Amino acid sequence: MTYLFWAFAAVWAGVFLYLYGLVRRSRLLEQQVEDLVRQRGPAGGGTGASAGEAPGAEERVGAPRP
Amino acid sequence: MELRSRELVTSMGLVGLLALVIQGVAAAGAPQAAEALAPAVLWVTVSFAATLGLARSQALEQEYQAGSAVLLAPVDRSTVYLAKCAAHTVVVVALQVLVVAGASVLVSPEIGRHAALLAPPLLLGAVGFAVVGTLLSALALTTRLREVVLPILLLPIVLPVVIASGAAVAQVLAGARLASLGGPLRFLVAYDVLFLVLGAWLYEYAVEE
Amino acid sequence: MPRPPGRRIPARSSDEPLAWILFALMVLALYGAFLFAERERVMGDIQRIFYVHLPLAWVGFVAFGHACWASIRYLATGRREWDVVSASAAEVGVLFATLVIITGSLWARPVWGTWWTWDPQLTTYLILWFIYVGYLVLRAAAGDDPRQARVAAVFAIVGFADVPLVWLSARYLRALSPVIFTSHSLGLAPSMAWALAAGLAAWSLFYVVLVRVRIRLGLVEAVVARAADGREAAP
Repeated sequence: MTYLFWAFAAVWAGVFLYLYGLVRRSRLLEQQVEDLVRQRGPAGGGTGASAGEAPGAEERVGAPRP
Repeated sequence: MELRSRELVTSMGLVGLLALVIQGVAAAGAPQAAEALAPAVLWVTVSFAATLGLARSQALEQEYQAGSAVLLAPVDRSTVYLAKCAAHTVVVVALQVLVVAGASVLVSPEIGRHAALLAPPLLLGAVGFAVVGTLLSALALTTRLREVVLPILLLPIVLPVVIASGAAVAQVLAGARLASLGGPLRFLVAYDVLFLVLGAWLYEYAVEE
Repeated sequence: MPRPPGRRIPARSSDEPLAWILFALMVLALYGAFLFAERERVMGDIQRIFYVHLPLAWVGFVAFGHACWASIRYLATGRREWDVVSASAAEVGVLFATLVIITGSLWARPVWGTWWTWDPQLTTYLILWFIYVGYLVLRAAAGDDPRQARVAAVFAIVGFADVPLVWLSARYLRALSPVIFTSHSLGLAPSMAWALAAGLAAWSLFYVVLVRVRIRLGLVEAVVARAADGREAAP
């Protein structure tokens, strides 16, 4: 039945749209982090934590999708 | 406070009556349907007018700085909340009286005939509305969006009241006696109690600086 | 820079195996829904929507419970991390609620002839959707202001208390429109029960994985925002 098809299609479309949204947000975040790192330069000891933490998070954020 | 309440009820009442007029006019072609839809008409009118009223009430309070004065008083926040609920209940009930009277004239005389039996579901509904509305209007006013956001917040939460009370009203208009209204009325009581307690607990989080 | 509480950041190392388990469960659930479960006698194949509709509904509700719990913790502790958890759960939850309404509607159309019925399930999910959206609107308007974030948290708690009440009150809708109300009673054969169980397991795990990813994103965003603010504040 076409309704059945559309129902499942809607579910998967919705899921992938949301995931795509998340990926875009994390790319934006990556950009922000890069900007921050560039601005602070090598001197920021405190930023070392966020700069080191964030790219790692970016990798992981992308990873769970098989 | 009293003066404010009077001008509030007046403007709310006018909005309510105008809403009734619009609905009456729109349904003029089908008087039978209008009668059947009476619970919907009553509650739509009351909901929207009351929401407006609650929003304005909170806004007025802020304007006159009455809110902060009350909060500075050495009184428990929950008491403030309960007092406000009581005041708002009175306002909503006044609105309901106006709407029922108006609806008797503009929509169907049946409404007026059953007014006595309509009182319990409407009253319990008013309490529910006021209890939730007091908390949520305090919330709404602290946000950037202010009163505009109150309908979005209030109406979904208050829906069970509208459903239960509306069902009871429909039964009354169909000729039911008080005894058979037990289900919806008990539900309304439970709702009122639950949100009264919840509201009293959460109110201080809603208004703290 | 203050470290977020270790307990609340989902550990990264367990994500990979979880993702693979999720993949397997999803395949299993799809198999169950389409190939394993027997055809329903009355409604036919359209009934198979149920194997995704019910798990989505379950998760949609659990997500809101999660958001409510996180909101309570946020009000109690004042820790921003809980606010992030609440917002994450709500975001994922609104997605599920939307899908529940869509699948419910697509199910209703061929079976009962209307796109909408005022039965308890669909009505409750419609209201749940509005409450989710209300919460997300509040949260978005709040930005970094803790006072407004508290407002959102209070609303989440009120909303969660409201949902069962909506469901209960929807019974009374029957009195208002007996023609439209229909019952969803389904007799479940064993093969159907298994397919449903697989679906529930798969989508529950999906929620766990998704919300962990989303929470981590939110926490990192908060850290970066604080760092950016610190940068602007510096002379």
